[in-house]
Amino acid sequence: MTTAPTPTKAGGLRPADPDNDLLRVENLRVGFGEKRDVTEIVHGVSFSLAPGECLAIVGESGSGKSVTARTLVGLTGGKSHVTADRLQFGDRDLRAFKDRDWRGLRGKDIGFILQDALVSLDQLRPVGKEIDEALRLHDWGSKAERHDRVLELMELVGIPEPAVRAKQRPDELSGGLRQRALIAAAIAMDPQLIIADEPTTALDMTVQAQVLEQLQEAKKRGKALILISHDLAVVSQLADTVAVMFNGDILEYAPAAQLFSHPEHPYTRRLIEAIPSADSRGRRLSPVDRRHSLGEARADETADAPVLKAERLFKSFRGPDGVDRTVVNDVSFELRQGETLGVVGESGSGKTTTARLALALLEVDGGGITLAGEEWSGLPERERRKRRADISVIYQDPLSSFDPRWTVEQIMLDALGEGYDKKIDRRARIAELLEMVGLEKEHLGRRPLQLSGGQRQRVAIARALGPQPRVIVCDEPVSALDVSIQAQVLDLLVDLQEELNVSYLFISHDLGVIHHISDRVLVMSDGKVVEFGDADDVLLRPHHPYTRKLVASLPVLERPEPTGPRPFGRPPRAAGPEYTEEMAA
Amino acid sequence: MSATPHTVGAPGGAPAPASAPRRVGVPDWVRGVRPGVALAGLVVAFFVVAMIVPSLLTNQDPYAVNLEQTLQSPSWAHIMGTDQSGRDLYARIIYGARESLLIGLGATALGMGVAILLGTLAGLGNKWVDGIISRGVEVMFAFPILLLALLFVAVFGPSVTTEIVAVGLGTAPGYARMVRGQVLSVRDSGYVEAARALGHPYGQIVRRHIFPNAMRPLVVVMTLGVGQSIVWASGIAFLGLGVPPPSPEWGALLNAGRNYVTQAWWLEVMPGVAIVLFSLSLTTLGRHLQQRLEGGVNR
Amino acid sequence: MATYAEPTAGAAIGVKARRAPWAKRIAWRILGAIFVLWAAATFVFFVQQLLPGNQATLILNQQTGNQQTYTPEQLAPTEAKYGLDQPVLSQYRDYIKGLAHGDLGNSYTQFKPVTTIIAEQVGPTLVLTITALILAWIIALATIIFTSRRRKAVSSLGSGWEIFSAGLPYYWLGVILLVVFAIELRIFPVQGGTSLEGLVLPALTLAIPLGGFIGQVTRDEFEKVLDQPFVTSARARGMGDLAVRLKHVLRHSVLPAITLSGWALGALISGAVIVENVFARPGIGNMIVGAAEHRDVPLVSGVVMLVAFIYVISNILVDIAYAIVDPRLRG
Repeated sequence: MTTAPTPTKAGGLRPADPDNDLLRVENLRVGFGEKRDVTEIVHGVSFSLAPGECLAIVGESGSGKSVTARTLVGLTGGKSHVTADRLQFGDRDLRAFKDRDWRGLRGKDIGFILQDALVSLDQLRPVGKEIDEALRLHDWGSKAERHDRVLELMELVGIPEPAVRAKQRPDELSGGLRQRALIAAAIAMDPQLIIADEPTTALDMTVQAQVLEQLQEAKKRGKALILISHDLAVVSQLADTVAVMFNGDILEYAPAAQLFSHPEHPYTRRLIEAIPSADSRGRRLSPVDRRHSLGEARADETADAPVLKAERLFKSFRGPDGVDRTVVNDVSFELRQGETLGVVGESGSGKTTTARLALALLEVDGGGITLAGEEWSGLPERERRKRRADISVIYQDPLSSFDPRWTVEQIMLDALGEGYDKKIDRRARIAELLEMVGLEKEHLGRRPLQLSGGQRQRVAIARALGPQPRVIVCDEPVSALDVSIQAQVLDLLVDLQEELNVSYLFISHDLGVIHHISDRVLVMSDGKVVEFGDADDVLLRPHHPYTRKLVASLPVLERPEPTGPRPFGRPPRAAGPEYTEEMAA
Repeated sequence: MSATPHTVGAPGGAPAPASAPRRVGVPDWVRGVRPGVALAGLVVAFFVVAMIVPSLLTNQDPYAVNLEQTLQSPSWAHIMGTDQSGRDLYARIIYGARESLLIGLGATALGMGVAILLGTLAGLGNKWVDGIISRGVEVMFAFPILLLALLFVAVFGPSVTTEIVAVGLGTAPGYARMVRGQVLSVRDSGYVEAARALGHPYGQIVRRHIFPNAMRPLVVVMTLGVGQSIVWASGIAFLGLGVPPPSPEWGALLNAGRNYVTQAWWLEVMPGVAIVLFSLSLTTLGRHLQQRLEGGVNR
Repeated sequence: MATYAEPTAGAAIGVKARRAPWAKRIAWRILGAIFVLWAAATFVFFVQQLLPGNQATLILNQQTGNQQTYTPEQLAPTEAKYGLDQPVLSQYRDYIKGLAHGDLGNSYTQFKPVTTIIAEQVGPTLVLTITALILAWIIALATIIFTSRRRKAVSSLGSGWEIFSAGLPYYWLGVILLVVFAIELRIFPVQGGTSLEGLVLPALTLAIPLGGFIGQVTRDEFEKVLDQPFVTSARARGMGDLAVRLKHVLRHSVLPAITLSGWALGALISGAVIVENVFARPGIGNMIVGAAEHRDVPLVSGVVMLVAFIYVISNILVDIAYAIVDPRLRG
């Protein structure tokens, strides 16, 4: 792959401009390993940055974007080997930096913001102390002066009641406040360059919006920003320049406006087109061929009778402190055959618990569920077990849903259900299922650990299809996948629905995904149903203030025109054969 | 591996291949063995042979009294010297391996048996069952092995049975807590829930998923445990409260050697070396097994 | 992409609602402790009842040094003296009542109450075990802070030493130290009694294996914590490596070792039995071996109950220490 020279690789790099360049990187290479056994991860990337400019480095996992960012603060780790023709910050040559030099640079000239504040701040200490530490490490001011400055910083990032909050620990603050505290600690010494590594991943949408706002503010104050992310939409809000990385190379490096409206490299185009949203409804997200399947559709039921109906569900849990929390509060919905109902909400909204109630893995405290018109939640487990073939589940993390000792074949055998007494029948059915999800026979002998994330999820889907269910509950099935793999899995799910007429109860926090795949949408907040209706109605014309807030915090990408018409089912081969290999994982 | 949950800074690449390229003729399990582990394996094998066929390793009689040769320091004739009755120390250690190892195995088996029973019941049972058993295990923790042994000796008199029961019951609570933890974590795992969602009856789930996965790490613990049991049992014998003389059991040798520490240091040090060597080798093997196990599951 | 998950019960929105104050939890702990003590006492009593043969016979034989049987009339005074003629349940009741008042019964071999005997001997043992615990912690922490995650050679050395030392039997280590440092090199006295010099070798004998064990457990935690994001955050602010280890990582990684220490004190007393034996040092360890040999059931039971009591107390202290180190538990 790396042998094919890509036209835009170094073409976008501006010529050196000593007066204006804050950062200049040329031919950066990073390898990991010891002595003779070094693997190169980053293969010679180049970029530059001016003050007040925002560069976004975008890529999927394994692209090397994080490693690249860390070379700028010398945090690539003990086993790393960093070389470059030029690695210059201001007038300093970072290649010659020793430990002490780095310590003087980190926090003071370059600030680094990590992902999730809950684990990126010391959970045993109050946040005020973490921010204070940033000042103390560079000998800034006296204790009293630092104290005032900490409060000042907290106000700057928009934390209300800073004096109270400074004494609280990360777990005592809400998601949004924690992230702000993390940002405050990173910008405490007012560094000229701020690097944010996946600043919005794993965050609720509303919190995500707050973080972006803070970064925007910093940029307005004249700081330079480097954003590392896999999320193109998030990045499009802030970036002036974008570098797209894949497997350790920069494939495209261009001003943001140009990249988003006229992406040159096929990989960039693919990434952009893979983003699920309102606009992508009805078209395929990935260029992978659709597999021809032999599945049987359920054509017997009347299309209108709901296959899954929940009425006034209640569920509460007793917390460790003895207080009862109502996690699901008067939730009702219905799901028709062949339809996808998207359930969207932020963390704590109760959507996962609702899913488990639907699966009858939890008993309801109030209300009832019927499946295919018959009693479901009220049945004793012994009776219910016989009907479990009608409803199955796909989880977010397939790895933990497989017995670690089992092979794919064993997993599939386990899911076959009744009626496969003869070995030959079983073999045939397993082959059929594999074919449906796009896996090969050779995968049968492997363990889930030996498969990629996308392949694992396909096995999970095949397992869910085994008993020929009417409903599949999908609990964040694509949240842990890279964008391009996510696109393939979503396409697969849509294909399967079309062929088999199966219904999906699709849980996700990602509005884009929900909007792409759902026929109807259920919005949940704090255990309650906030809005319910057709996808376009709810998400394009929201009524409830919470839904409005949610929709408003969704970063929207300026979309280029899709390359040629894409009728469902026969997409053209994308340019660049080297990608199809890798991407069809 | 690409497309896995994002880890910062992790090198990426294609999906992991099904198996690494292999050198012809070298079986999988041999390749990962470091020299220290190989040595430990040899030591353990040595003592196992000593346990089963001691005459292979020495031609001396451990019980042969020879009053002309008392308290001889190590020499070519007696590579570990002789004791106060002229008996060859090396031979006594070799023959003593059987008793010591059997005591260690017996105690570990007892401790593990009790632990698996209690731990599984506590892990699978409801809150009440778990509560009661956990309280019981906590009570067991209040009895250190040696004191338990002393209590038994005071009541029943010194004997091998006392040693085994005391060490077994004394180590049981530690194992029980571990078993319970394992069972609980497996019980709450994703694949157990997935199996429930597929409609499998609970009994089948326990049999096919919970038990095998929970017990898997215990093999390692048992390996470590046998070494520990031998150490403890020898400690009891060292105090004179275990196997009666003239048994060449290692602890008894230690007890006998105490009186001669200044004149014949080898009598005290050598049996200790045997115990430490064996226990250490078992520990090394156990840890190697553990890495292997975890490596296989979490590659 | 990181996993998107529902929060655990610990995460809060805004200011945390008030939970049960931890004083209440301590009260529960104490209640639990009393239960444990009662259960332990019952177990000990039960074991005592299993004594083969006749207890009064045993007592008389021990006291006189004979090995004979006696007629019931000969046994009667002994039985009356030790309450052995009462029905089992009233014996049990008296026993528990006695324990609650701190009465551990009367020794069979020495003609004194058990409590008195223990009180005379327990001092040096407590000094020894507490010193050993402190030393063990120092050894463990020093090894970890300086050898964790450094160059491969150093870190393997540290880890290897821990594994090795944790497996050393007390009796063997004690004898080696005795022979090398006391007998051959004459740095320390062979029979130190209760003096300070006499404390060094016995304490080290106990401390080294325990230190290895604590070190192993803590090292695992330490290395896991070193990889956590908040450590990277601290480094990204400009913190040096040693400072990171001391100020951030240490606190997180000692938690499992603190739990260990609760158990360790009881285990140390158990080890003191052997160590006092090897070094001929006065203390209850030495005393209890003789008591066991002479089948002095009340004396041995008394020490066992004492250790159970210490174990229970140290567990409560551990809970308190835990809450100090990890403020998330304070509620």
